[in-house]
Amino acid sequence: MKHSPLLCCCLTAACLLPLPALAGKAGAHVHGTASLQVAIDGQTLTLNLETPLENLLGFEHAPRTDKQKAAVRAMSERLSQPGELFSPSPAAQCTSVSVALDSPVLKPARQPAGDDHADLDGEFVFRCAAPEALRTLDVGLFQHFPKLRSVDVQVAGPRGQSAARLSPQQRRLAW
Amino acid sequence: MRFLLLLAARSAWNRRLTLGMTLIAVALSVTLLLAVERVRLEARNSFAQSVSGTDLVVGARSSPVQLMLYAVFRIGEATNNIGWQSYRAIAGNPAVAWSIPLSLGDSHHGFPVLGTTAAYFEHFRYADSQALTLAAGKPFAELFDAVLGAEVAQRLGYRLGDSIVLNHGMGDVSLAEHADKPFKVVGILARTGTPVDRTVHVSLEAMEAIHLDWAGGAPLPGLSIPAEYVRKFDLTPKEITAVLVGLKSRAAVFKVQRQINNDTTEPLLAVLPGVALDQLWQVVGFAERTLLAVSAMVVAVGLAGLVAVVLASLGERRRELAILRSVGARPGEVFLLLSAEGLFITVLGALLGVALLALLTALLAPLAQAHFGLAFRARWVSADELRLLGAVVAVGLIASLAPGYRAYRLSLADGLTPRL
Repeated sequence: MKHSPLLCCCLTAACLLPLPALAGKAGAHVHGTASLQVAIDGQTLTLNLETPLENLLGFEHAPRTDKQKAAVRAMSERLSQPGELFSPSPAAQCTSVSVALDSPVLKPARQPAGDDHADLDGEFVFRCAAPEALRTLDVGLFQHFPKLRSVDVQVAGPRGQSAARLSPQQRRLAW
Repeated sequence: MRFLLLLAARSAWNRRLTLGMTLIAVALSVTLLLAVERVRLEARNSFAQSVSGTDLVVGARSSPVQLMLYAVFRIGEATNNIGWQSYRAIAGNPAVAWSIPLSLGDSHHGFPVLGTTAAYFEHFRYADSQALTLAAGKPFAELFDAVLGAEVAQRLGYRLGDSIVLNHGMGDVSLAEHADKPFKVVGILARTGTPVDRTVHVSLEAMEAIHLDWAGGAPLPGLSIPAEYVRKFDLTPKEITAVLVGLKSRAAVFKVQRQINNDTTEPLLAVLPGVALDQLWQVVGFAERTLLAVSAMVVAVGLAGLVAVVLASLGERRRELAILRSVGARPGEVFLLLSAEGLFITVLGALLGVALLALLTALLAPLAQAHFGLAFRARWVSADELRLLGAVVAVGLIASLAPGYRAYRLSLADGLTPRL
């Protein structure tokens, strides 16, 4: 049996190794990485981004100085223009429909306490006129947020499910 | 030119033993290189074929890869079971279109026994959304009915109507038997090339029934409930191993996954099977690249041996080359003669390596099928493999130039003037 010991070793090793972006609940908070969930259903392309604020702002507490307040405003504006952050295949003719951002720093009423870590969750919805042409997604987050080093992506689409890890060198997601 | 090649062939035949050994070394190294590449591709392929159309796999909270391996591929064991209540909650989720409960843990002659429901035959898909089909018989209807995978039926020679006894636990030897409650084979599934082939399927109720008079993994002494009375008991399972879930809308998959993973009543894990497989390959990828690098080194060693043999032969062939020169062969032709020999061995070695790989695949495929239920198809050389072969021949060609050049330099002056 030539294949089996090799396969077994690999599989056992795989079980023992810690995996990034294990489950949907990206409970882990790792600076430098973010998780992105891509769901394609009919004409709707839904992107769910979950990232530590550190990746976007460089800090995770409530903005104290004017400079920090400006940074939060700039980030919020940047993320409100998903066309620059995510470019689906041009042939699919996708247009941004809605953006929903959720983060403690965006809610003045609920400030994160002390040294706690804080995240930003973003939901970006696109509508695509020709969803069958939707084969790639270019993620432009790295240009705008240089502290972001990698994005773990999960895709559920008509061609099945897949996972990928994007980095500043590998910004294109294909399925 | 043809004359020259004929001469080269005859000369090589004269040294067939040493060259033959070198040829074997090159062929074996090429086989190893291609086998590593092929096992990699075929393993990925077979794994990907094994589950289709399932949006989520749910089990006890552990690693997603481990959950996938035991629930879908029957490799390894579950860390924990999940309660029947949790299964009811998942099945009742409005976003869920269908769900298949899976209960593992028993075996039959080393083949895993899977307790499930009729939903399995209706909703389970493999390869390119293919449904399971029965080669003979029907799905289980009575309590002690069993449906066999194709490999189980073929290997153990079972037919419809045969009686089989399940073993408690996994393994081959000295397992406790559920001898008092034999099962009747009512169906045999058509071959799928997936782990389904090596699975014995029974109903969840039957799984519960054979364990009624058991406790702590052994039959309770003094208590035996005959098969005809078990129907009087409540056969609703208390726990199962995993659930395959299909959703009404694909877009809901991440939402349902989050709901299940955040469930506070029981620590559950929901994974997207396609995502878990990709994560597995991301991890295994490093090992694969290492193996490919090692086998590339082996090819390099084989080719180095080839160069050494041809170079060493120059000594014994001084006379031969000198005679060729004296009858009018140009130094360039001597260069060609030697280089052609190396190239010829490399090409022949590559071809022999491909043939050997085909032979090995044919011999080992049944073993991979039997142990993992993974189908390794015999197939023609792929484009990637051709690229590898091309690289081997190119390196062989460059390496063969060395003895050619040496012979070229020597043949200008050497050989005709005997140095005693």
